[in-house]
Amino acid sequence: MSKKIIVVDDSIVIRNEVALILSAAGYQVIEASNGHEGLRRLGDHADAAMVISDINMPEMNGIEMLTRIKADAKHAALPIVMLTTEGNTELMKQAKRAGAKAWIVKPFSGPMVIEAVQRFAGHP
Amino acid sequence: MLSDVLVDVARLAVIDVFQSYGVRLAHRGDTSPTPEIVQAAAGGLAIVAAAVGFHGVDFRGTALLATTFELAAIARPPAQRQRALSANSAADWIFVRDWVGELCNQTVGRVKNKVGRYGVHFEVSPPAAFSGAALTFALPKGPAAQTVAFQSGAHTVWSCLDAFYDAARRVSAAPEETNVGEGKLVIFD
Repeated sequence: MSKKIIVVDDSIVIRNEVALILSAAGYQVIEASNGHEGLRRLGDHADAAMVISDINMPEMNGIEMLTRIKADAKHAALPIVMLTTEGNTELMKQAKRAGAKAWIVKPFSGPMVIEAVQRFAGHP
Repeated sequence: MLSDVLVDVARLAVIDVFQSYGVRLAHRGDTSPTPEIVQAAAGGLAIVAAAVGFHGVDFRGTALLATTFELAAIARPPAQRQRALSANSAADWIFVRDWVGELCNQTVGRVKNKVGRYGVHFEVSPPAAFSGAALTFALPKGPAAQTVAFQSGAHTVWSCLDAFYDAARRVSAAPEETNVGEGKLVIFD
């Protein structure tokens, strides 16, 4: 059974891209289009090994979703990596304080995503 | 002046975003106030466009990005380029509109990262994307906003950063880089 990675981004194309990269590497990908949906997917897939999330999304942004996940004792240890256009170091510090493990500034490459996933979720 | 910085940053952001997806753009010129989108549509090309709003304490506005279905398809992320897209497919139109929205989002993200060095800070709204046979940008209203055209082969990209701020605002000449650049992975230890 391969490890599940939850990918949260409001762009269909970005979700597809990350899913293609991770599926080719042997991971199972669960997609969500905003923070609310990401929390629901995590509820449905509590065995997820990691979350990769955009920040600027409708309904609930990635920082709020990160904060909510970390506040839930069941998922407090779940690795979360932010994948965003934001390069602001203050926002990065905020995410780090909230419990994020890493930060990718778009555009991303396949090897970059795989490096982050292998580092925090391990091999598939 | 901030207006001078913005013009350069906005142009470079569009060029860099498309370059990062393998499309080289050449700056063709400033089209305002010519309603060039209509001219392109009249040539039979279908246009895909997106708008992203941004707002800060003393800096707000809207960014627009438009191009052809075909160029947006060419500029897809690498893992998805093998699948052919058809302008006759409703699903592919959804895909391409979504992608132009993301390209616009990444363009504004680059502008945000660059102008943050000059003390200009703002938040970005999620993109809205749309398409059609005849689209025209309204004339921008910001103090230095221009609709700019770029060319890649037979395809055109139009962009406009219509920002509202104090037109007399000055910025330092050589600010230090304070943000993490695009395409970087930062591991938090």
